[in-house]
Amino acid sequence: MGHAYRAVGWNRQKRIYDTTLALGVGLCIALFMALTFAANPLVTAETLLIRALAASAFVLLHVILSIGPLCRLDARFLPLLYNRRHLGVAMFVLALAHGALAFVQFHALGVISPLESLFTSDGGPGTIPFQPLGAAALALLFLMAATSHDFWLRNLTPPTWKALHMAVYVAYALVVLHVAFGFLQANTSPYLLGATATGALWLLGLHLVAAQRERTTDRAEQLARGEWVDVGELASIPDGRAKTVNVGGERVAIFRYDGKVSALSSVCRHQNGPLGEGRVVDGCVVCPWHGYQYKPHDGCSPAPFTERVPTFRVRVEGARVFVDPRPLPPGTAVEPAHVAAQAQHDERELYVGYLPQSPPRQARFTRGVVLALFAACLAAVALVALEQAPLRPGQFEFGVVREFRGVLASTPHPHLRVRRPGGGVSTYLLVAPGKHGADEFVREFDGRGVSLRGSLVHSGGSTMVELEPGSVALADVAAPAPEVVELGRVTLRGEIVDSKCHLGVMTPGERRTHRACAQLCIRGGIPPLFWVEDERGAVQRLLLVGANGEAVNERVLELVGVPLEIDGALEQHDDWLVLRADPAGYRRIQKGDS
Amino acid sequence: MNTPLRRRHAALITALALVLPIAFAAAIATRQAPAVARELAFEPRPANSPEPLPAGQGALALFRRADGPLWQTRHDATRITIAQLDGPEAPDLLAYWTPRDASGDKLPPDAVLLGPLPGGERTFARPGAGGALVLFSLAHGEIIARTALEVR
Repeated sequence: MGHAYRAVGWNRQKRIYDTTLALGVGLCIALFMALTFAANPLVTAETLLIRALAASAFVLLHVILSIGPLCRLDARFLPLLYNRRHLGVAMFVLALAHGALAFVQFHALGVISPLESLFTSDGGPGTIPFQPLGAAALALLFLMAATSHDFWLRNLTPPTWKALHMAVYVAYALVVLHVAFGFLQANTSPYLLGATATGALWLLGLHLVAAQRERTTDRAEQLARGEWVDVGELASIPDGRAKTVNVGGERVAIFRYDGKVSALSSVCRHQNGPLGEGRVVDGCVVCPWHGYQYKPHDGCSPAPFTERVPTFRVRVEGARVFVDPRPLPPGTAVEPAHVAAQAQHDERELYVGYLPQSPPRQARFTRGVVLALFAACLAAVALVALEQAPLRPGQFEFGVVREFRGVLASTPHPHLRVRRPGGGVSTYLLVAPGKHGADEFVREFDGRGVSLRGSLVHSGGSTMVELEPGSVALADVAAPAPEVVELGRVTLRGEIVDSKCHLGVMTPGERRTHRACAQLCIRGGIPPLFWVEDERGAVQRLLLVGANGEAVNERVLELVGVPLEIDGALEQHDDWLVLRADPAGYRRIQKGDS
Repeated sequence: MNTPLRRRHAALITALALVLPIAFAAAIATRQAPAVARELAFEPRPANSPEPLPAGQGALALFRRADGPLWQTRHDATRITIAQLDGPEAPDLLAYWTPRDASGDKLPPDAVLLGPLPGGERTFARPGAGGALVLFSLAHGEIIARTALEVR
């Protein structure tokens, strides 16, 4: 039977919930961006956004997964559960934005399709690609976000819907591994490691404790199935509340109200919430999760609603209550057992989300919890922002097109030799837009004086121009002959990076998180650099070529972004250092190598 | 939740509690520190450049252009040491000495190239007495900063 789609039924509590959520997410993103920008003023907007969205989504996922077990352990957390689906959808939107930005940033504009790049670019011996883990988590989160509406809950039926939404735990595991095999590989702060591990231990511990408590309760209340089962003293059931017992493996809620006792299934039809933990309000049993109502004597929701739960026959003999454990069809009316009305009411408050006001003590508790959550989330986000590895300075003058004049050379990689006033030559590497080398645009101008237009990319004295395609034209420009100085053989430790991102198009343009992009760039013809940094932080960038000075792009792809040792011949070509070495001899440094 | 779902939930959490810590620990155990070079290809200071001025020696000047980066120079009769103190780097930055402290946006024709300034501190031999130091970005085609070089 199908159910029609109905838009979200807004009420005051949902508005407060969503406003608080939006405020929290906004604060997390703003705080992360402000702290990162303060420490790294040259960080690019894409990196800021990618990381801020990721940190906020990851923190929010922890909050979402904490709510369920917290509610099992203490019913006062139930207001957080009331609109938890909006938390989930908000977290998915953050994760989707993170994924989409990273997908475009790292995998688009290359020589292979972005999808192929996503699943193949970060490979190589001894490397576990972390981006496919994130993509798989995102796919699961999409399934859950897309089916979060009651339309799907009703059409899939609650058990199927709940089973589907348990995939959130698989998604969480994938996200943790995405972080561990990605961000934590390049950001080695022990605080980041500690925070991630603490988050996982908190969640797993909380769920295990809650599950253990459920098991213990079930075991204590486990009653054998018979014709009539003694479920205990009448006095053990507070007025307006229920006692939940486990009969033959399923929970039955026995409610006492207005001098009557009725029994019905403890499983709410909406999301299988624990009806037995609700209370009788205005003559109806109210589910503590989302406020669904059922009449206690027949298990039917009041009109116009149509939900129905199974009922059970009940009788009271003396001071004891007996239940017939055979469930009656949902909505079957059963004559309640009549007992003396109880003068003393249970004073515990019950939060009902669609009522205009929360009970006062509950409202105070909820405010305190929300403030504590805000503090915890902001502290976690601040920790990630402050403990990131410092971002290397580099600049890309995106959108600023300048004209350059010099002599063009196309081997081993296109570059422009620009005469310096007063003598000497500056060399600007040339690349094309996106993740492409400039070979096809410059080949016919090899050795000729040209003018060209493009945008600068530069860092630490190394300069590159992203060529505006079609802008190269012959010009009356000269430059001295290339000056090549042999500097002897060297053995150096460092990392192969793609020159374009490393010099400033992306921050960071190196290490584990950038590896897939670097591979794609180098595959597309961007000159590979060997980036060498010593213990003092002094840096040298060497243009990496083969033993005979040829381009080696296709031969170094699997060695990009990992620690390497290269033995080769060092030369100075004008103002660039060039390292000539056969890729067959590049040695991957293993953990523990001295 | 009903009983089968509750059991499935408990089984999933238990499996996660067993598998996730192991996988996480494996990820951390196999991560490698970045490769640190025992030495650079060669010292960044070219062989023919003079020793840097010792700290506290020479005439000190701080200078910047408009709201551009702040520079520091220390100089004596034979050497000029230049360091950038803040702000972003300019592309293809070259240091020039000019005999006169001229104003204007163009590089004077009699400017003498001292050398490139690729970040960090650099020391150059001083071509003559007095004059001015001009920092010129070749890629931008503009003067980034200038200062007169007074000798104490």
